[in-house]
Amino acid sequence: MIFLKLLTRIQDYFEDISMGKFVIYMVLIAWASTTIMPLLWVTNNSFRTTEEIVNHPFSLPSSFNLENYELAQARVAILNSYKNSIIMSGTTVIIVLFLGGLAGYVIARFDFVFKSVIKKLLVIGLMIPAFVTVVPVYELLIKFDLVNTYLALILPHTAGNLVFAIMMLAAYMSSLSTEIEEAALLDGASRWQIFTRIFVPMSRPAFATVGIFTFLWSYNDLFSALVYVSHKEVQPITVLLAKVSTMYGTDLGLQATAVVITVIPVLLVYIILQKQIIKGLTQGAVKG
Amino acid sequence: MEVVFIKTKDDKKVIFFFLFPALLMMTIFLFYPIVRSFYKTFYIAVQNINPRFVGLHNYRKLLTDPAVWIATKNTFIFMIAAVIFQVGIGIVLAVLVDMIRAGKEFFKTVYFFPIVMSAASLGLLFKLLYNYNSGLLNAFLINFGYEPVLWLDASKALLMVMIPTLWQYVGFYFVIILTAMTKIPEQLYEVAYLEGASTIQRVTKVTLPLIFEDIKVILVLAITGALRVFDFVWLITQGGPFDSSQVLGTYMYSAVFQRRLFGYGSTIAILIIVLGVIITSITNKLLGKRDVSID
Amino acid sequence: MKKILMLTLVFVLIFSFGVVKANEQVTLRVVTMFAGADPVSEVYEKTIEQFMADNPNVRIIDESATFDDSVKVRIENDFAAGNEPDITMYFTDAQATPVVESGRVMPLDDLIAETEIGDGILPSVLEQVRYSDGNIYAIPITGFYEGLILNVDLFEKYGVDYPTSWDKLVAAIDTFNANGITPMAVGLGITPHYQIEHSILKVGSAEGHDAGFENGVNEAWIEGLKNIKELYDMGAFQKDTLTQGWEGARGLFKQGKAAMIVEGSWAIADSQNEGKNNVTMIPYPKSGPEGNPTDMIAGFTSGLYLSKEAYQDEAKQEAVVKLFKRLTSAEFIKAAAEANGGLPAAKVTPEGLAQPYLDGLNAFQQAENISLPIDAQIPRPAWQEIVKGIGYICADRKTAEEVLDDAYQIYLEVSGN
Repeated sequence: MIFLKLLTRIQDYFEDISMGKFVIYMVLIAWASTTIMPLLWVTNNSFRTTEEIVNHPFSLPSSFNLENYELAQARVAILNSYKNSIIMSGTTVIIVLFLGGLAGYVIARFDFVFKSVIKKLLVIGLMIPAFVTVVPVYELLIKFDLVNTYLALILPHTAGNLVFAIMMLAAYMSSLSTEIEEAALLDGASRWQIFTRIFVPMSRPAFATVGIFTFLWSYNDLFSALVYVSHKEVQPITVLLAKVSTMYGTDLGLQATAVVITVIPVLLVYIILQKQIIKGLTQGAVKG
Repeated sequence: MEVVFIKTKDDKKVIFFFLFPALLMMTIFLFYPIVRSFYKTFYIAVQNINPRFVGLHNYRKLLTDPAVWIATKNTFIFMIAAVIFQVGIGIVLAVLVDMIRAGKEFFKTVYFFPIVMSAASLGLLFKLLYNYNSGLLNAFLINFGYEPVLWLDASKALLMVMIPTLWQYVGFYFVIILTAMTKIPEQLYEVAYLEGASTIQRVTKVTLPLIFEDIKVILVLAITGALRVFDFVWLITQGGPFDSSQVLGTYMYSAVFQRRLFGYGSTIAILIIVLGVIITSITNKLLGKRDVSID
Repeated sequence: MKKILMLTLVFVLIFSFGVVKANEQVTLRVVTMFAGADPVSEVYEKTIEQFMADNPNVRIIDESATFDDSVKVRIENDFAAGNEPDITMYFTDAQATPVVESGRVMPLDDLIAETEIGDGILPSVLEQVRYSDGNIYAIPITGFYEGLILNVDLFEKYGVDYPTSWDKLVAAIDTFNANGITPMAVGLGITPHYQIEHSILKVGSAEGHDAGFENGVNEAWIEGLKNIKELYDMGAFQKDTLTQGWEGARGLFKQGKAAMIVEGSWAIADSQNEGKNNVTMIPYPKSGPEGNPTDMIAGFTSGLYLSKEAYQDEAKQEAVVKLFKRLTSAEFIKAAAEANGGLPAAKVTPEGLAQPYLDGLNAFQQAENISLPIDAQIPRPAWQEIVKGIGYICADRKTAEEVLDDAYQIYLEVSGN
């Protein structure tokens, strides 16, 4: 049954494919090729030696060589570093979404005295370059005795990503329909209930997007990791990138391997959260 | 379509308790550090030790430093290019992907790859593309009988570091626009369809106005992002040769971490923030206030 | 779902506080450069493990890392904020200021005289790391020497003499250029460091090289930078040298596409490319009237610092001194020097070194004068200005005089004049 349905759908689809659609697909595929190639290239090179990469940058590996992976594993305890990364970036995402959601809701739906000031501060927050805050933040972390704990990365990452989260969530929520909200208020619902029962579910795609980026930025932030957490037991996986590129500056194969190892979890998170976006999409359509 | 803010008596409390935690976090780990850096702009302290008060010396130096002018100019070029290409291509791709049915998921996933991969790895890739001796670009040229080109010389370095920077984040704006478009209810399109609107009209009359607020946000993101450009420039050229590809982000990094002049680095950061505030307010003025909601 | 998220959050918060808290034992924090691909890291890690096995009451938290800019900034701030490790390996040159002037490291002179700390370390080596206030704060482990690394196979293949003089260097450059081989690989655009030092040393004298900025810009420095420009115009370097750093240069040499590279003893292992290149090291040739053909750049620019707080802490003193002694013992120094081919700080003879190391050590022993690199002698901001200026000079956008004058102005600015 399902199979038949699927067949008819595919048939339907190709019947109404037009010249315009064809051009659209060509454009989309062209861009896609620029984004897929690097990933393939890096994965391919993670199985090769520097010599092969330099002399034939774009050919396939002569054999399925895991030497680079063994060397990478010898440099850092990969599983433990994965665990650290997931704990730190995961917690950052949860806090950012929670606090950012609350703040974004207030900015989107209330009018108050300091609103324009807060909006300006947010814009300034976006521009603060990480390199100048590193030293003062590190001084703070030493004072709070947080260096070499998970919080040493979670707190600064949360603060840094909140700006983006609030702006995105406020923008999304500000143009959601006010009808349901009004009805709920008339029914005596509290603001908290309105936030959790109406705004959070309706803004699911925005939450998912913000969550992805927060995870990504927190996860890929090598710089803070090198400064704030120096213990091997707490270091995230990105530190592997630094370890191989500063000392093995000329070993391209190993560097490619380090990239593959660090990219895998993010790709998984993205694919999982993307499902959320689609779920949110269908829900939004029903309620809108 | 003006937004009406509904008021109740507990609003003040709600505003406070909802905003406070986020503001607290940002104050401690974002605004306080920048205030502290501002304080350090009046000092010279090599390697952050034995600070010596120098008044406005760092600011005077900033104004007479030729590299700062080059970096500012290059940063503006980045900004204009980011608005045109990053945001522009991002919107076009999002609209196109929204029009198709098959393969939507596929494109959404693959357009995101460059962002997932982190600049460190992509920097390596582009370094190998541009390499004079064994790079792919020169391999092509030689194959077709041309002379190899010095891709990263002073006349081309800026363009060569702009390409990966702009390309990487197209996917970012693409995803945000696509997310924004999910809130537009199907009915609106149906209405537009029934009224006989063409595809282009549908995009310009329905889609774009309804996600206008989001576009404003991504314009601000693109502008501020351009002010902070760092990764690829540092990885590929370190701002060289002779500062030709220097941007404010790399110049500040070299001040803080290579030259260990924390005060001067902070002064550059202040310049970045001032420029950013001016430009984003102009942008917001130009775009005007147009809060809309779907009703 | 929400409950699970909240639970995880709580769990993480509690867990993250508990990571470093120790029990009754003595816990020591140690930072060294022996991490990642550093050749000594294996020996070092074994020593640490052995130490913990011998002293079950001591727990060592090893924070060793490759010292890139961010790690250096971290360590400097650790000292500024009183969060320093108990034993820290750091620089003893111009970069030592933040560590020493924080007042948080032990002056070691008395300890060296009264206890066994620093036993067996060569007195001349200790003199080299004496701080400007007259105290010794650090004990070195191994040092380095720099010179011209040659690809012996290429020299033999094209019948070129080793560049032991300026004329021979010019001849070698011409021959290699004629055969499509890059004569000298160097990343002039990003890391011209070693080329600057050697050109100045071999155009001027050791005295000129070591002049610093105290008496203004030394003539030898101007001539040295002009010499780099001369080599550049001659085509001595790879075409894209102004856009490259050390990785690019070393890559070229490793692949056998370049015949010479100016580097230090730490690069010998990499330049051999797992035995595919047959290499040797000779002193950089005399390039000007004042130069001395045997002079080399070498020395000790890093060492172990002992935290004052740890030493004065009765609970910790015994353990931290014991570990400090172990890491500065002749036995450990010998093993480290055997691993990285560097100069041992103690009276030991490393065994089993490969030929290029022996060549380098031999040249080092025959050198009339030994200089520390210029960047160990002048403040960092001034040095960076010279580094950045090389590209400008080669492209005729600035003269050597202008670049050095800019650097001198920065020297005056940061030293408070």
